[in-house]
Amino acid sequence: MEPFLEDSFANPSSIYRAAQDARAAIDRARDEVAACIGAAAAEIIFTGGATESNNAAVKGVALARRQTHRHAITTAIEHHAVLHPMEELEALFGFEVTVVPVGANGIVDPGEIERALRPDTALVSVMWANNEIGTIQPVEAIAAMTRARGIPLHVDAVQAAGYLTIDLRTVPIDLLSLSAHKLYGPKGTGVLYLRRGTPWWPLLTGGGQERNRRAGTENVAGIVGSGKALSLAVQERERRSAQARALRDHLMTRILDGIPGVRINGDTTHRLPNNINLSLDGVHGESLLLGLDLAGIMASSGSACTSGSLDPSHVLEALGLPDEATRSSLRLTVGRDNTRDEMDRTVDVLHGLVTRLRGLSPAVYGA
Amino acid sequence: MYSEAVIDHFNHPRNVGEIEGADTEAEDENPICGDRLHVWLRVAGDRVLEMRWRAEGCAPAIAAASVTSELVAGMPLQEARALDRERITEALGGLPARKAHASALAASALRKALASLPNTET
Repeated sequence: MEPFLEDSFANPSSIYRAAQDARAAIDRARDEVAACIGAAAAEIIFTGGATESNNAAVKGVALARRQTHRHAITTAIEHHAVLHPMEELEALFGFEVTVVPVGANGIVDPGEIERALRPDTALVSVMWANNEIGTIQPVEAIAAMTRARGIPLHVDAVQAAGYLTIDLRTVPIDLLSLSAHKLYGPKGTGVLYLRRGTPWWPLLTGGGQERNRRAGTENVAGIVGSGKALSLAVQERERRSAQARALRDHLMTRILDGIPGVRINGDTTHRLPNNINLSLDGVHGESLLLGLDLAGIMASSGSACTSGSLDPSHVLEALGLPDEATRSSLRLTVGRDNTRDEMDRTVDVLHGLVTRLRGLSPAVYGA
Repeated sequence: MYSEAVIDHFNHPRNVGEIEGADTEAEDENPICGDRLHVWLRVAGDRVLEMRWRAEGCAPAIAAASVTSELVAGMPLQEARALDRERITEALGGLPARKAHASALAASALRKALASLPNTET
């Protein structure tokens, strides 16, 4: 990435030689990304991040098909970068959107998607793995169904890419969003896979870059970094998954064994290996986050009090959790640099914190 | 994000607990966040002698209860009744705007307890 941040300012669309170096670097990154997911290089579009990839995917297909298709399907646990564009389709373009619920385990039933399909369904958008609860969705089964009916399927694979095998030669997904920064790459850069032949209306128009599918001068350094981050992530996927799973399972076992009044949110089997999402009776997520942060431990929560909007997590609500459980939720994710000692220390800090906070409460909590 | 005072009160909350035979007590909650605060007061003549409390909530809700218990100790009843969320926020060295509800809960629970004081005179 560095040369393209420090010395090489050439516009890859220009004719001069320096520009050709930038063009070649982008082409190499495109090849790297394509190889990682079983795609052709021409099917890879570089974007300004996964939010843009998701927006472009949802609106790009829906608007391209809007003359004949005015219906879209998604799930209740999608990222807002899918849900909000879906709301725009309804509000601005007269679409009808079916938001399919998930089970209490945080997994969508492909049968529910099937029942929602209509002759005028423009697209279906389902995430591969959820960012809050880590649940893995049955995208293969859904893809077989949408392919059989000729309906484009978009999959937000931002969370999945680091841990699950993505091979688009065997799974008939039509659009797929990826983000480099979830894979230790640079922020502000993302990838959209667009299968050849998929109906497309570009979100950004202008200079015709990315084969007229996404206009704008390329973020050369970001693109080079994305290609590198994704190919490293794929090379190390198995090792990192096994390592994350061992640490995560150790952390989860110790929490469940040591701290009373804890429940796991989301399916425990069909789940990314790095994710834990808990609800801890009688404590608020916000207080836990501060206490953990003061001990140098970064976590997050679905509680309304921790979000800027004061809205509780739509994902935890979609599981049918009562308000208390959403308020007391805590998400812990394991990264590549974490150690077993850090897991043990996290449990100790969390245990102390939970005991102390429950001790302040007007209610009485066991042990 | 939080002032040193908020973090100090969160880490070392003052006057936690109940008062047996309190002169008045009340519980209030913030329906949006689910913060819950119970306060107990000991009163003599026209002064608050002591406030104790228990809370379940976000860090600033805990800190606001704690700092309020310090503020009202020895305070004339009339002044305690007028204690508003601005003064509590100030005592905490400020709060982010979206956490103002924490001071509001401490003020309202205190006011509720004082309102149910028997033979209230001002």
